[in-house]
Amino acid sequence: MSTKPAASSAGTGDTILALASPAGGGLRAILRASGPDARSLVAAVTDLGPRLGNDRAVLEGQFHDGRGTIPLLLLWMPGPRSFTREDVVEFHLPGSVPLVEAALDALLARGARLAQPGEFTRRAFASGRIDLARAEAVLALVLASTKAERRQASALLFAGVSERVRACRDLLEDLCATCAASLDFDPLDTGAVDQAALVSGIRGACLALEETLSGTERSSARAHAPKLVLAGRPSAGKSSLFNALVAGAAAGTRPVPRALVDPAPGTTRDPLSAAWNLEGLECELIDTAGDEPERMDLEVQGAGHSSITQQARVLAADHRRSADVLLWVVDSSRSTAGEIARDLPASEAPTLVACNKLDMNPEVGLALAESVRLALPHVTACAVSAYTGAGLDALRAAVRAALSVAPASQPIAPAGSGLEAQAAFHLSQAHQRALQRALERTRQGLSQLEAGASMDLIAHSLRRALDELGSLDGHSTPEDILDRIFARFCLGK
Amino acid sequence: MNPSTHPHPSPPREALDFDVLVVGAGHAGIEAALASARLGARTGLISLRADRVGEMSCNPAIGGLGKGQLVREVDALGGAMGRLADATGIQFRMLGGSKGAAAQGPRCQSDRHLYREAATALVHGQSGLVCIEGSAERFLTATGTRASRIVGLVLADGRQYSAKAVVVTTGTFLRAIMHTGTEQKRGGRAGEESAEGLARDLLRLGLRLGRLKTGTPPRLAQDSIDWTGLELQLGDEQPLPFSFATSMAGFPALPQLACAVTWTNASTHAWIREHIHLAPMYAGRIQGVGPRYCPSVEDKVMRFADKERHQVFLEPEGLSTDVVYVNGISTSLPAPVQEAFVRTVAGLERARFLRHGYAVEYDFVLPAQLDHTLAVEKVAGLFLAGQINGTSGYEEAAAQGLVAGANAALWIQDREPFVLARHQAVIGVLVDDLVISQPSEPYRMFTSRCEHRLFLRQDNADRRLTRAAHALGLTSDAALERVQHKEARLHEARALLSQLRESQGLGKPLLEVLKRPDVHWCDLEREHPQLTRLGLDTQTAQALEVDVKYAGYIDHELEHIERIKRQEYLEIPTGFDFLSIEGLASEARSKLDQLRPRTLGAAGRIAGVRPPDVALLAMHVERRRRTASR
Repeated sequence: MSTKPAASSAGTGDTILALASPAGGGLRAILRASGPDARSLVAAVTDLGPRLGNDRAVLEGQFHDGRGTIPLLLLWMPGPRSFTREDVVEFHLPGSVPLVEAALDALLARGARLAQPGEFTRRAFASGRIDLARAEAVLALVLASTKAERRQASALLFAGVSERVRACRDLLEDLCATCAASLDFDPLDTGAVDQAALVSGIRGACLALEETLSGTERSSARAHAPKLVLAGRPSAGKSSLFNALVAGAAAGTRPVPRALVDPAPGTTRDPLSAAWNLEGLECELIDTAGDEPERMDLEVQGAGHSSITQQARVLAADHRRSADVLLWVVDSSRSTAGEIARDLPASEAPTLVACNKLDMNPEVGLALAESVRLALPHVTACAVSAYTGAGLDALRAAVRAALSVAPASQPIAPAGSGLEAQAAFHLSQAHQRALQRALERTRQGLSQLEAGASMDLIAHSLRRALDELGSLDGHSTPEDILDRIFARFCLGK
Repeated sequence: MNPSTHPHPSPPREALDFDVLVVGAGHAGIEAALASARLGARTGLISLRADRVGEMSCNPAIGGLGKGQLVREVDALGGAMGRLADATGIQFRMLGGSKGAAAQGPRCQSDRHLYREAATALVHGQSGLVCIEGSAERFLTATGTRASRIVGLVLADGRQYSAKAVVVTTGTFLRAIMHTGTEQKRGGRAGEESAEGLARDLLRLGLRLGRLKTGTPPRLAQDSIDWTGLELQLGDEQPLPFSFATSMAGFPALPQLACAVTWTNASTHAWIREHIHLAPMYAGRIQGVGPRYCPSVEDKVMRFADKERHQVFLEPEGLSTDVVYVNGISTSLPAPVQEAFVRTVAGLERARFLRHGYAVEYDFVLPAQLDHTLAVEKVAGLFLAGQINGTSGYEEAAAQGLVAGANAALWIQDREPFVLARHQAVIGVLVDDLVISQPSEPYRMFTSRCEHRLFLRQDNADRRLTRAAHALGLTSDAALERVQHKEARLHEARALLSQLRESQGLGKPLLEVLKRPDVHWCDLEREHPQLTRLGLDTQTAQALEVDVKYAGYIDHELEHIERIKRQEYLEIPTGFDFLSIEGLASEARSKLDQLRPRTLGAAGRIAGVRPPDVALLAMHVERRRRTASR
């Protein structure tokens, strides 16, 4: 083992790397590396190597991912004045998923390795940079996989995934048991391995892994996509606007209404969400139930209805709070700037006001947008018509602009709720990579089997595949495999 | 090996002071005593009978799947088992041959009597080693400032010996009870006493004991078996020896015998089912837990009721004996029931019983109390090896004996301990598994326990281990020269293979050709006389073939080993307080505290300890080390 006795670094030897930005498909992605090779990584993949000194620096340059260059903003934090006391570097890149993947691969190819969950924190702790209480608090969140409360964080992201991972593990353990039985016991006891059954078993495992992987990708892509939340009073036309925006993204196709549209207020109860490709940026568009004033409840018959309304409202409020951009929709034919200023929920996210129903009275609509801009200087107002599509381009541009001022950067020692997002994101990264490697190993087993390789090699590939899943929810031990063998076969002389 | 050149010296009267005393001369005791003596420690070997060294209490066979690798490693480390097996084997087979090089394990049937004689001669001939006949009764201890320390042993007859370290290898003899039906007898092996005093004394020293069970099948008279019509099982046509030192000239040394296979049938099973209430396990008379990989015939019939027949191997115990070991029907049913059901089996209709099967229940020391040198943590100078640690098998015992004996000698010499890592040897896996285990059945080696199985093969044991063993003083110069010579030959052959090309020099380099699964060295030799001129022996040619065919995987594997090393071998300081770590899952916390892993890797392998727990533990360990180093 080669541990470098570097005085200033934590002396941990290798350089770890992680995607540190919470939005995978956001505007900006941050790759953070820590360790003795941070400086040489910069030299290897950017044009900024010669400009790194012994002081902190923010530099602009180019990232070479092997195929082309990507504009880069680089944060250089040489040790020991960094979070981990090692050399730390952040690569801020445009947030397109394929670009970030390419950059990640380029850095991994240069000797960085993907950090384990909580590893930055571990290094910070080991170097004495943060105290135990703080480190444990961070780890408790980042290492979400055992305790119920930790599970909740990832449950949102990976609903159904852990079930599927378990199913994959089950298939692989069984295959490993089949191989181990053939390797470790007399064939008179275990019988010859049924070649065809093994092939179809491995194929089944591949399929299960592929499905799990695509499930993770979907859920993580959605979870990391910036959220654009449509809110407003009932019947402001939120659902119409939702449909218009979603349909407009798929150019050339006939708009298919997704949200139920009805002039009666309160038609939308459950938030409806859709992936929305905003000029190449993957967003999630969420339509919420109308925020009705209390008195409207009284006009509605039946307690059941009222409680559903109540629930819908709570859910809508949750969505508003988690929004990256809030799009407040008003009926321009029936609203005043004063009312809007009063109704507009307080939000940390950039807020846009869409003065809808421009088609009913264009002059009133445009005037309202103008007076909102004057009354509320922090919001952007657009006059639009979900019905005709007028003003939608301007609205899209405004959303794009609003997203670009949304805080994409995380502080290097994240605190508070940002951690959850980071933990969840970190997990999703680790999950996907582990599943991907497990799949590769399983496929390798299949091709070995088909090429007539010996059983020890096939067993090796399958065992490694199973090991890869270990980082997700615990390792399968040899005992687990042996248990299966003993349950299946009558063994022994 | 030539036993006749070694006289049997009786112990000199003044030999009362030893560096290392080994209790028990079974397969663990032999290796422990020899290793200790080879390292220059004044060693005494205490056994009930000086002429019963290396007894095969169970079946007369050495090696097998997973176990053959252990024997090859013991041999590469200078141990005796491989040489003894080669000299006394009456049937040699390479098991798992078709499953790939990493699955192969050599196995042999041995002449039980000759094995014992050869082993006896070997220990009596080892310089620096004195054999003592007697029964160890009690440890002599001194209470040091922190823990007890072993200073010697007292035998049952009152003799006292002083020793700086003691290696206990008492097998299944601790508070052993033999069961045949409702009959119970004290003793660890038919015709021998159990060791009561030592068990009591281990408890006095504060060790925690557990209880296990194992069993043996009946032994039948050879001339009472009708061999006609039974399926014969022959040895390999070109048998290979266990020991890297055994020359192919004159191997095998003894005439080779065949075994026979027969089967139980419906009426066998009916007899057993009808009398199952008389089996001690089923009557609740045995508390110990038996091995699942070696179930009694009662268990086979009851647990796998749908299986119509079970195989029975008839294994001759030697060339000059009438005893046949009936492998596969270990039983503790009453003697008349045994006779009745055995006689339902084809070929055994008129079988005469020389000994009935029996189950043995015995105490073992919970091995989590040991460290990686097999030293008891809380008693300085006490080492344990073999079945006393909850393992099964001669091979597992021999491997532990070698580790314990070598480390006892190194410890008294104040030298660095000798610990093999999981990626270096199957022995490393064995010891590492053992010291964090809570055996619920006797621990047996399976290759699937070895995560680096592709690397830990029987064919490369010498190349993996002999250098290190030689540096310690465990192996001879000749052994080192052998492995150096082999490596030089391999190097030469590889060079030639990369020069030569197939199809009259127009095709691919032969090195590439040999990578194909269906191409073997002998095929290439036929086409290319240059290769024949190298004159590679079978074993070297085999090693070369494996090297070439597995190269890609091995490189990958070595990379993998390199990657995991840091975490795997991060040491947890002794006396680390696992209970103080907030945030560990409660199962993990109690398992860690109970089993006290010494490395992070070991911690991660404990059932119930999950990756987040390991990460948390890693953090605390790193912090602790950093504060300590400041």
